[in-house]
Amino acid sequence: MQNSNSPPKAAPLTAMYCWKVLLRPLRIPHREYLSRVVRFASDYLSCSSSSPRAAYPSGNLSFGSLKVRPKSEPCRTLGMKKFPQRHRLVQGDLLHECPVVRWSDDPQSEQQQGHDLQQLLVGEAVDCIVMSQACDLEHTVTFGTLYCVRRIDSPSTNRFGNERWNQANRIRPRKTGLGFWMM
Amino acid sequence: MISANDPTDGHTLVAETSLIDFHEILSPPRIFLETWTMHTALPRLRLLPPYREHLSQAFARYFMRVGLPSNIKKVW
Repeated sequence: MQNSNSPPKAAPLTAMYCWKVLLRPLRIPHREYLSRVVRFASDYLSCSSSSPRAAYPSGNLSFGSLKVRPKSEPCRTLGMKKFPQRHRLVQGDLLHECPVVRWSDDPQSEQQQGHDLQQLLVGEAVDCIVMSQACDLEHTVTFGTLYCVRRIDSPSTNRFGNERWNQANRIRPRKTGLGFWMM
Repeated sequence: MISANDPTDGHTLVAETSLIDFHEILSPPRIFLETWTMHTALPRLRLLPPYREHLSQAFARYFMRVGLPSNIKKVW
């Protein structure tokens, strides 16, 4: 039995592994969801910079917003720490271009009637942050890890973030000021 | 710009200043996330306390909000 404090073992995303470990214990809707996620993740991991993903609406493999720079260059350190990828997930982890599957953002629900709902699922590579409580991740079996998308703005905005707040409020005018957290 | 230094390799991991949008919440299976993070070759940044708790409180404040049909006017 695996110790809860030890990091999870790496396992290849083979078809047999996906069926035995990921898909089989789940109910049918979850199985369909995870099947699409695994298919997208396999495509994500197999492509290279010379063959970017063209079938998905966002994301690329250039990692333009996440890069390694020499230590001497000045930066703002907002309570951040760098962790290797083998460390367990905890609250506050930033996941760069994580492959997810979700419903398309078509707001006109009447046009969705009669359509195959599976066709409304889209695969995306998004930047996320883990929001599940650390105690839940450590001591309980959590099926879903809750996290939010973080939007990366252009570097031309000023350092105090006023333009970011204004831009965010223009996007979501009815929820001014409450639904965002800047870092 | 946010950054974090790793003393073992002497490099700093850098990311652009970002906004966390509480309107978009995803809940993928945890085992998938752990498997995916094991397969990615990049290290990741982690928000440390007390900023982590500040973010968590902001998310809870947004999630537990009560919408009134009309705003309460200040009469005093």
